[in-house]
Amino acid sequence: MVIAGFAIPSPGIAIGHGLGTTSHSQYHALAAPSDPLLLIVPSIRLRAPILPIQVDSHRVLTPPSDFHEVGWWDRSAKPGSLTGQTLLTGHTVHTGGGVMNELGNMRAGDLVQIKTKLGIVDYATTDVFVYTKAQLAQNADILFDPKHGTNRLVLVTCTGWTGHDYTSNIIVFAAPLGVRNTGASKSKVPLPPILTPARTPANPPTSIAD
Amino acid sequence: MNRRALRFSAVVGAVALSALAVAPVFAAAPVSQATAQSLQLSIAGNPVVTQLQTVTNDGSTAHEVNSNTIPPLVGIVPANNALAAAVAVQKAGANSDGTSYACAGIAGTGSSGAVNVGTSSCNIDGKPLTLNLGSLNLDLTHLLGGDGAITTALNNALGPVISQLTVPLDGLVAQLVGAINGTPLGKISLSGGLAAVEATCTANPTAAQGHSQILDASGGHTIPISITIPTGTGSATQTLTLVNLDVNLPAKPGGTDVLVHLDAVTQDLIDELTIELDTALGGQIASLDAVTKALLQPLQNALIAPLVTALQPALQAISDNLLKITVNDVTPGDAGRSVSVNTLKLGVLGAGTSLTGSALIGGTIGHVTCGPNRALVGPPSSTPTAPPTGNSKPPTVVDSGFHGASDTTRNVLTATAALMLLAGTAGLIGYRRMLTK
Repeated sequence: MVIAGFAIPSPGIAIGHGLGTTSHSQYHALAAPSDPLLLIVPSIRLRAPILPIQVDSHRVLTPPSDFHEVGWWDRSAKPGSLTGQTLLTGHTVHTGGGVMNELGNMRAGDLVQIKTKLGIVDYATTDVFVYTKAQLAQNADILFDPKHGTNRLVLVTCTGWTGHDYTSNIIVFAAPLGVRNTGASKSKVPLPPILTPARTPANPPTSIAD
Repeated sequence: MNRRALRFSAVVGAVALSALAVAPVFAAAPVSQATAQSLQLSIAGNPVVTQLQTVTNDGSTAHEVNSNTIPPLVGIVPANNALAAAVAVQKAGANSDGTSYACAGIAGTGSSGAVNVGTSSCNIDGKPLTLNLGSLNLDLTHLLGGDGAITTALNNALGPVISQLTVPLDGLVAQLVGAINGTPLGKISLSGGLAAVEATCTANPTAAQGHSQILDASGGHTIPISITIPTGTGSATQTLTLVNLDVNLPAKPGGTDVLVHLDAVTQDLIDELTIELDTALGGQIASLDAVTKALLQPLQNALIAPLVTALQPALQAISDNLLKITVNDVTPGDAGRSVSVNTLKLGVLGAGTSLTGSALIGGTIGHVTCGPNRALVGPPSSTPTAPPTGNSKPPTVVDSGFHGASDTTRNVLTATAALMLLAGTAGLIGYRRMLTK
């Protein structure tokens, strides 16, 4: 008699990828990918219209000239996509008033919402860090590649004003939660599911420059 | 009367036509669908565990079907006392907006996390889980019977010395057969150690995605296949890792067959059995009367070889069929609108093992399907926009710092406000002087 068995006795491996144990049953997926129309970040009182923008031939992405508006790179993923990354950027104005002036004050877990024609998609902030311009250029493919990841949201603005120029970028990653079900509590931000985490840059700085 | 009959026929016809017109609506494919199955097990093609959850949504209501055939398995594998942990880890959902999700898998102790999928998750209530896929009869009775291969080998080995024995050959063979039957031969267990197996998928009306993952105890991606043989001293056992299977393989349609080194497995089995048989026979011979013992002890080594040789076809059959493992099968369908995921498939002791006569056991751990789904009313608008223009490569510069113009604007506004304030103050002073005059 031979007993052929398969044992799964090993302890200690958690296979959850979320930052916690909150259930995501209060969310459902957007019915289809949809263009972003409005960005809302309650923690920094950001509420701004989103306009599609393009990368120029020198691979420079410039937000809308009105610094109260946010730009969405129209070749990046739309909210509700199953893959890719959604890239939004907005101006920082060193004298104040820029739409993303407070981006550096965001923290992991902060709620981010993007309004589309098909509904409002919630995201949960996972990373906030600063890259120099050189670091950003070096890691551009990893940070912004529209073909990679599971619809991670990437917010970018400038920082490091020297009196003449900005030396760095603040980068925020947020993971999609989905569209909140009717009647679901708004008081608590569920933690994000990350099935296949998008590549993250090696050793991203965690400190935020003032 | 005829008119009445005609009217009645007309009404019946109209009702029938209406029913026919409506019928396709009811027969239409579901808006969304998904299935989840943490464990599937069949013996000889007959399902003994089909712990399958199926959910469909007709656009307004989700319909769930749970197929649970666990009790038969409990009968088959009484020692498995943690099966509930396995069956709990499966979840499928189908929404009226044309999205669906599913996740299924198993996990060991301490896996208190969740298998997250899309916008939902499967909570894994990790408990110790020892999942035996079944007990297989090597048919030792046949091997050791009057015409059995082992008995024949014994007769051949003992034949030359039979005249010197004081006990009948049949009796001696029976004693040795009893000894062999008492060896750990019948208690060999083969196992694979895993920490977690998960399969997940999501789908919307336009696309479906699947994902599979196998983790070992160290967080890596190997399956150690081990053989455990009692040492003959009490309940002690010896475990020998035969092979570490690397399952860190990319998902692909049909999955990837993980090849076990069959020759190495067979040789390891033979080596272990040789030791155990030697010990068992030695003990059995030692208990015989002094004359027989004196005759058989020099023959012990000669007996082991034919015994192992007789067993070798069975062992080879085990090796050939024991562990056919296929991992990370993620197969898309319906032009990418559906997906099927099988994280771990096991084939145990194929039907070709004529010596064993045992049945094929097949198992799958972590099986999910999602889609195909559809939009409830026409395809959902994906916000038609002009095709993207500009550079398709990611930006290397994000020029989101604003300077210069804002200073000017702000300074102008400040100066204007100051001037207006000054003018207003001057006006008030002038007005007051005018009143006082």
